[in-house]
Amino acid sequence: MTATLADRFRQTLAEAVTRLDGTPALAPVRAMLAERAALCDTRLRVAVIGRVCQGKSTLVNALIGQPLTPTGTLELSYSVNHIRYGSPPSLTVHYKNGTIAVTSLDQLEAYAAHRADNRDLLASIAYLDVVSDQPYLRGFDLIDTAGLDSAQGEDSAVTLEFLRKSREELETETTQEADKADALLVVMGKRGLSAIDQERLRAFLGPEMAGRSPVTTIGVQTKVEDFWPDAEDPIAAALQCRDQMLANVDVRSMLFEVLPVCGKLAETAAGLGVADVADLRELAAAPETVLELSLQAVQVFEREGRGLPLTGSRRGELYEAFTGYGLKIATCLVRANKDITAAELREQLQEASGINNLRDRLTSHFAHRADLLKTKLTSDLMIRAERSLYRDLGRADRGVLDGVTAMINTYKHELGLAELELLQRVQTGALPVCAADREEILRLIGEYGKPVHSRLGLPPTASLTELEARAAALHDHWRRDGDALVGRESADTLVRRCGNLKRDIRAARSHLEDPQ
Amino acid sequence: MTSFDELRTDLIALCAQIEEQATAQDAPGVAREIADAARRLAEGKLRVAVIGEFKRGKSTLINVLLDREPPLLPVGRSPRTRMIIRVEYGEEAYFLTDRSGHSTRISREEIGEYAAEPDDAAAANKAEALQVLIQLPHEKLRSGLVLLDTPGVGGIYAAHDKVTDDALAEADAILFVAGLSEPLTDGELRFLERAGDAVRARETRDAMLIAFNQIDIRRSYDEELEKCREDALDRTRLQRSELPVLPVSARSKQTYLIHHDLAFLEASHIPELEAELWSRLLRRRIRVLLGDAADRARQSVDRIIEPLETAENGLRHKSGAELLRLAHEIKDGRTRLATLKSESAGWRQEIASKLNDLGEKMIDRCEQECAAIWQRAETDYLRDQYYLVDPSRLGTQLNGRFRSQLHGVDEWAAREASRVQRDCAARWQLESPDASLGTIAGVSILDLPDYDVLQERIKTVTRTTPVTRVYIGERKVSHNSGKKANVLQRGFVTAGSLFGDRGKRWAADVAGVDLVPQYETHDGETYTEQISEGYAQKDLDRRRKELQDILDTARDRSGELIRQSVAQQITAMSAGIELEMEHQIKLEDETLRRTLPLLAVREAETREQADARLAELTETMRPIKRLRKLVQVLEKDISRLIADAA
Repeated sequence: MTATLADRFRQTLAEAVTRLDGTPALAPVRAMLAERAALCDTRLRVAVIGRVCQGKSTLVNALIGQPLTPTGTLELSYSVNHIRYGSPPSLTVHYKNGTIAVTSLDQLEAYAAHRADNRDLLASIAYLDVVSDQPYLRGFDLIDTAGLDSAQGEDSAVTLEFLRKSREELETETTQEADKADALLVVMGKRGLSAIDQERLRAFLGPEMAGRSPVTTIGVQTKVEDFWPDAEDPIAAALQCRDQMLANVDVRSMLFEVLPVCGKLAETAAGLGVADVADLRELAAAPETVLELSLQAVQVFEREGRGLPLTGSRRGELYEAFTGYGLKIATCLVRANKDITAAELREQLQEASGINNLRDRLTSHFAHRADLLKTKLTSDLMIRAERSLYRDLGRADRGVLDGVTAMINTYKHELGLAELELLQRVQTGALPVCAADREEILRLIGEYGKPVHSRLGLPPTASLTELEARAAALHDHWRRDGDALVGRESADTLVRRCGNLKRDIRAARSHLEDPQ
Repeated sequence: MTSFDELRTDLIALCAQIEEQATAQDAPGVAREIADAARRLAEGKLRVAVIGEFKRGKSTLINVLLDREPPLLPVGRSPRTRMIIRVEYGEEAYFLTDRSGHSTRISREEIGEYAAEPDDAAAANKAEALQVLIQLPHEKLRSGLVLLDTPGVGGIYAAHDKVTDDALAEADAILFVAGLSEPLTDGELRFLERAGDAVRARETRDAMLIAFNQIDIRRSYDEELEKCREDALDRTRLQRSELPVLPVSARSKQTYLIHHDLAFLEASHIPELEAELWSRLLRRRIRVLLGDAADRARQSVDRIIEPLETAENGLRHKSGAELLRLAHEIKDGRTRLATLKSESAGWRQEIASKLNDLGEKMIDRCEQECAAIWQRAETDYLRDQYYLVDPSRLGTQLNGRFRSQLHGVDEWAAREASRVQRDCAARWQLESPDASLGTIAGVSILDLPDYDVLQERIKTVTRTTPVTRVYIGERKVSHNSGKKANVLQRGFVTAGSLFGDRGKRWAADVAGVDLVPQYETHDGETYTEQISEGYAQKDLDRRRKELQDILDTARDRSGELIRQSVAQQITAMSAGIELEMEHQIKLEDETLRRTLPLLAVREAETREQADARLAELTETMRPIKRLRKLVQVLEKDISRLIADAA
């Protein structure tokens, strides 16, 4: 068995760094590659960016499944938080002057939320390093950035002044953090990206989006629950909104995909307690039509004298926590299963909120491809570094740089990276294909699952003969018609994948037939 | 309290009665005039543009303001309204109007089809500008209220902004829709500012109102409401009382319309919004619409009754000499009018020369106002990256400002022209007329070519992280020697530390060991980072220069444009005033003509005959006098309405 991609790439990076020793002109490239080499062993790092007040903090809490960052409608989380999996949970405060303090996670609020008395404290913090033992974080680290402040204008200026940070400083901080990240999660409101948001995101991604590709950028629509009750199914409504937005080629070229999430519901569901379940049970006992009607406005729902269970103020609290749609779903679930446990309800509500789907996508798309994405990001950064330096270099330095670039570039021909490239072209519409071909391509390159049968679009029960026949048919198909359908380069990738599948199936067969 | 609509209905009915009397009294000129006034009142419009970013619930708000369930306007999750939808009073009917003004009747179901957004954004931006006209027999629209539903601004579709701009141009008032779901964006605020300019919210009253929608999702929204209010006030530079921000839930009102559950109506706060909106709109047009018609009604009644009263006075004088004197006077009057008609050159000359002066002054004022804007463009806008990055913003901003400034000059000129008209009428002993005059605000001053939007540059810089100091443990130093503690001492301390920190400190104390904390210093690490360098200065400079050239050319050309436009307007105004003068001469003539036969009573007639005639006159005048009373009552009601509304 040959070494894994990650192992080989790590070695290549080490070699490249050694080669760059002693060429001061190429120090930035060396530093970049050294940093990338160091990051090879870390988990995939996902930076969460987005305009303020779009539910970024709520989403982070919901993703982790634990309220970590302060949320609030007008609360701007201006400190950067690194959140990663580990045990025991802890909080490390990195001050601007370089000193570090380790404290307990309970103290987070004091370091992250505005209070009357912590102005100087907040202003002195560079970033917070949060270690959480929430299992959802196993796949990747999260970087909760200060925010891509685009349109807030004067009001955030007040907060900036409060923190003694300039707008540029804030933007730079966010850019810096996001730049170190392997992937981006772009948070947008339920309506999608407005023209200004798009402009902002494009500017943020940089010219020609060097160093960033849509494969590493996923959008999340938050506050989706607000579509209810205008729409019976808010997730479906959000998807419709999203499709309209993605019809815009500009947007598609920036985002790999966009997923809707009922952020508030997900956040509350993650922390659902036994007392909540008891209250939900009481609510669910009310006549369904009366309940559902009252849920359409919090002012009506918390009114006394409408024959609803619980006290008005408790109902109001529940509404704030779950949202109207969340309460509707929760009471339906409780009604359907009277003995539901808190854990079951927690899980089912998270499922309904769309957060599970987002976590799955982050895991399947980001975490499972971590090595590929890191390799790709490095090679993209290499191109960018080369572009910015090349002109000012002497002949000798150019030679060295060319050599190093060539070393990194060989990875571009790796099947995995070629597939990533193909995935990007298909997803962003750069490669126009019909729906059926699109599905087949995505299946083949493992977007719907890595197992052989998934790639071939066959059930897990398919026999080796069936798999072999299908793989051969696809192999022939892409070899014959591929050039015409998707162009030479893409066809090559698909043919190679089909060949690999055939080989794997053959190997499996011979192994089964002759286990020795 | 009598409402605007009731007063208006009353006033229109009264006008009809006055017209009837005028016809009966053989005064066709007066009859025509009062009929015109009634028609103007009946047709009088107040256009309210409903504006806001997409998905704020504009269309839902209009639906619930009109109590429409099922909804009238297409409401959807993606930006729905592609064109201006105009809702006005009339028999229920739906029309589609294209650019050339051609109207086709469509069915109610088709509205959604025409007003919805095509799936493809590019097609949407190219789609032809159309208007949907909806006529509804709705009480609230009776007063001449016209609602303009606009596409959102700052959304996905650039074409929307343009269409909304068109709506702004004809709006008399603005209902801006904000929402609790997300705070106002910079784009929305900029649009709000432009909308304020368009309806001249700073110079006139009751021009704008903000509906803070979607309150149904949160229990407490004071903070967001306050922020919305402050943002809006900062941007528009209006006073708190001039720009109310009312929290509402269009959706709750909709729920009420479906389920008839009063709790939702109460929670929606839509009735409060309606009250505020209608009262503001009322005030804004009360003076103009009702005031004008009432004036006209009073004048008409006076004109009808004047000959009758003259005759009555004559008859009351026993001698009959008074009658003769009056008859002479009337004849003189008719001679004066005949002269005025035949020798019209004099007054025409006078009007022309005065309006020429006015034209010069208008040009001066326009140039002054424009100079300030050009100045601002040069000193502020061309230095503002925001405009350089996307010059179409500059076009919108500048043309918007020109439009509002020229509109101001227009209003001033219209007032001046009516003064000229009034002076002239007084000099020739005619009644004071009024006339509607043209405008110059339609002139497009700046026409920018298409520009690409500039992109920011990204630069790689190398940085070093700060030096960090990490605590690594303690060094054990012998108290006596000042050197490293010996094996025994170290062992004793280690043993002590088995009992925790206090044990360790105790052991150290006993063994004579100092515990000196040790730190490890880590050097800073070098790393690279990508930072935005903003836009390339040379790109910005080049663009500034290009725009400067375009502005300079436009500025040179604008003087000529304005001059032409003013000249046209002055010609139109002259024609208007002359027409009005002729009309007044005709009316006066009519009155005198009617009076003469009434006075034709011979001296020979007996007292009895005179008395009988008097009684006859009184009988004729009774209904007219009653009308005069009614007009007075209505005038009082109107002033009370204005006072109440204020």
